[in-house]
Amino acid sequence: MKSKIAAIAVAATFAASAAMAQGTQGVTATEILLGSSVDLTGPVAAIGVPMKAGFEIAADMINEGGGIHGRKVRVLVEDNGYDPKRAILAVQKLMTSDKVFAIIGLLGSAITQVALPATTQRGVPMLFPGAPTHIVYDPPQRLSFALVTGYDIQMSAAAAYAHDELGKRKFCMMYQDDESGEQALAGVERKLGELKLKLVEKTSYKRGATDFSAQFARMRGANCDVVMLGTIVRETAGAALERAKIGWDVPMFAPQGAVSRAVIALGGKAVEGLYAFAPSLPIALAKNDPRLAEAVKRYKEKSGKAEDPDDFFMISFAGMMLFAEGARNAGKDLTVDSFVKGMEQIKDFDVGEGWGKMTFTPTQRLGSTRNYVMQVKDGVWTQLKALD
Amino acid sequence: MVQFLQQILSGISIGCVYALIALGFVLIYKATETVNFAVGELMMIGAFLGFTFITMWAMPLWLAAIVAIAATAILAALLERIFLRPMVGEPAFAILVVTIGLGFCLRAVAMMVPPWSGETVRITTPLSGEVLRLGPLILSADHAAVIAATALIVVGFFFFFTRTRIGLAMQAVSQSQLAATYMGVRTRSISTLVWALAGGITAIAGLLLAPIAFIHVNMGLLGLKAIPAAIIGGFSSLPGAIVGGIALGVCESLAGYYLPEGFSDVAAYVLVLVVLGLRPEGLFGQPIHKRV
Repeated sequence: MKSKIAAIAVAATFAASAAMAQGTQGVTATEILLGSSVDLTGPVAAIGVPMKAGFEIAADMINEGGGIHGRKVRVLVEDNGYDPKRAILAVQKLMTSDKVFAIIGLLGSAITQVALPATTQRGVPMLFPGAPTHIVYDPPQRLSFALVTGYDIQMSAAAAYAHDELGKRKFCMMYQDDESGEQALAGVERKLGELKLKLVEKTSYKRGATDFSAQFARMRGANCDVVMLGTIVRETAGAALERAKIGWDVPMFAPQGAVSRAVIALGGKAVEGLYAFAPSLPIALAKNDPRLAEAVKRYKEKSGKAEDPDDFFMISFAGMMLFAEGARNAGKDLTVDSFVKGMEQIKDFDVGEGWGKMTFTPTQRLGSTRNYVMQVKDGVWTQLKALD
Repeated sequence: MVQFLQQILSGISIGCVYALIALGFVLIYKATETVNFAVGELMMIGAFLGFTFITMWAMPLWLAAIVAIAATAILAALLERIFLRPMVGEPAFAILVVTIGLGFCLRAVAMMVPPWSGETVRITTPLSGEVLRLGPLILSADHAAVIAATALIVVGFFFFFTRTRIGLAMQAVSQSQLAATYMGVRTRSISTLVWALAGGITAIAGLLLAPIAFIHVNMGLLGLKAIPAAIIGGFSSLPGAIVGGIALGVCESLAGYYLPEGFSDVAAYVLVLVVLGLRPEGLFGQPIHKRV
């Protein structure tokens, strides 16, 4: 009996090591397995659930077109409830237990920040997180590719626009006192430094705050002629409401998070005229793109909802398209190395309307530095300009 | 000078919200000697119920408010009956932990309701967007409504506690449960009733807060500010809760304007330390001396 068990154990070990010796993690003869972790049940589930749909619909569309060199793509999506602790566990599971080829489309700057060292250490590519954080592309790393600009790039461009197009010289800023707000602040201060200007007043608020009367009182007292915001969704609306309440007619610029129907729903009339800088257009304005239109149509059929998905659907969808292009360039023998080289062959790639053309090189890991200048007109976000 | 008064004015209005929650908190403490950490979450539920009735069931504002307040009061009474009644006689700390747990459960339940979870929503009232001008000072109509409602509640409570039988019974229970029982007061029912009343008040606070701040599942954390307010006012004093709440609001508002970044967040707790240092029983509290 004992020798039988020993024999089975030895055979199993050989089989296991034979399996491990075969090819790249996440790639089999018939399938490429990708992993992601988004918020499906927590505070930003309204964004995470459409993102998951974006992965799945993109995978369907890629597979219907023959897949990638004959292999089908599959995306495994784990819930993290927007909690970095759960997210890191989910990412570890995807890498070690599910053995995914790459981690794609993580949702959330804080979550991306904790996950990036883990994926880099294991040699697993980190692809196109839905997180406006610069660490994905700055400094450029071999195994990290970004699709969206960080808050610093967005607000730096916003400051330049306010200076050049609106002729503003006295800048004030209100920012969230965490990583994302501080990135926005860094972007503004960097651009103002280049223009030989300084912030006349800067105020901050704690994440979750809803009362901005003190901050606006101070900024108004400093007599600035433009207000930059380092806010996300709720606080953008709160800032607009405060501005309207004190009757201060000053232009305000917000980063990407503001371009959301929720901001208009929360802010009402007060957000009219608000500016925002974002790396991609909302779905409502990008629907001329046939691929995106098809994807949105499938989303509506699959989910039974009549309205368009949240705009983050575009991020997961575009991320999958970029992955497919890089993997195709890599050729039939798909390894991490060949994939990285495949990505670096991408030049001026059109990932769809509503995005800039994407280019990746060994030193440029951010696909496009385009910013769309948006403004609320008649209660909807409209595009003013696209700045590359 | 104008800015100073303006900041005081906005401080008073947010302070009134703290005051109402602190009132609910102190009511429960006075009657049952229970520290209730779930007041913030009760406020959140009240606000969400109001939002649901107004926005999704298209009830008129006044009806939605009444139903939301009543529903939260009933919820609070049920919580007391089911979870706190069996804890009578247990150590105070254990009861406190139960209330913390209830708070977590309420928040989790709110997150499971699809239209509430993860969303930030807002109620707009006919007053939203209107501002009152008092000379050079600006007061938004929603803020003015908070101050007016708080004043009405304070007056109402004064009459309730001094002129009605139930109010007097509550006072008796809060002074001495044993003596009240001897006098024929049904102390257990009074406890449930006190929780219902506190639930109703915190729901009112939530509905008043909703047009000003936003409604979201984490707004209960604002309710935690009620505890420093209650401490400042004196843990077992109802007028103290009101004064403490307003003092807190004004302090935060002034700190936000005059002091560097971040001070407004700690202003509440610094004030608590200062008050406790100078007058440990709180502004209106009764000093208790024990002879050993």
